[in-house]
Amino acid sequence: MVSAVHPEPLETYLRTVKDHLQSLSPEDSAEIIRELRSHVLDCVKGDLSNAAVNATLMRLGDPRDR
Amino acid sequence: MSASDTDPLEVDLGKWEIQLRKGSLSLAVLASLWNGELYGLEILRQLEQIANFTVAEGTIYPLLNRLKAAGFVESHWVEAEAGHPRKYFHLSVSGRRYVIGLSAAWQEFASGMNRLLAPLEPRVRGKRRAS
Repeated sequence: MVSAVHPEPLETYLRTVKDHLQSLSPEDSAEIIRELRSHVLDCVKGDLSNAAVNATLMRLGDPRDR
Repeated sequence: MSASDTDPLEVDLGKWEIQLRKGSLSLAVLASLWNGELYGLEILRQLEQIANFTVAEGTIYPLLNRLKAAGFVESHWVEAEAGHPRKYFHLSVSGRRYVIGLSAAWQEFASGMNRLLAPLEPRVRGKRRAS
């Protein structure tokens, strides 16, 4: 079981994504954020270090392009 | 930088292959769901392991959401043992019909192209060995 506290790089990334989803409904925006958070947590397999999280975020690409 | 990065022919082949993969991505994703539901990372792994098809992670969710909006895919959240919820995707009834149609079109196209490309095969085998 991983901690419910999510690493800061992930939260920063998701905040930027959210800021760029203004054209979507709050429900659609929240769904995308939830998907991305779940994907990152799957990829890091419990390793919540900044290095592991940042490596995954790099592969996801620019948060402004979601 | 390798020689293939600057060889215009290789650059052009690379661009063509990217377009080919982009055009096949919907079929690949839908086909990966044929045997049952998967979450995003599992779809990516299946494409990589079965078809040697590497997909940029950032492109999979927008595509899945488009397929969902078109009614071909459905999804639901599951509170996973991993400790965080996972979104599982599965084919809808129309999605199953659609992927069968896409697959038939793909196979017809591929067999025609394979017939057309048959005379090149000895050269292609040589290139595969060399690369």
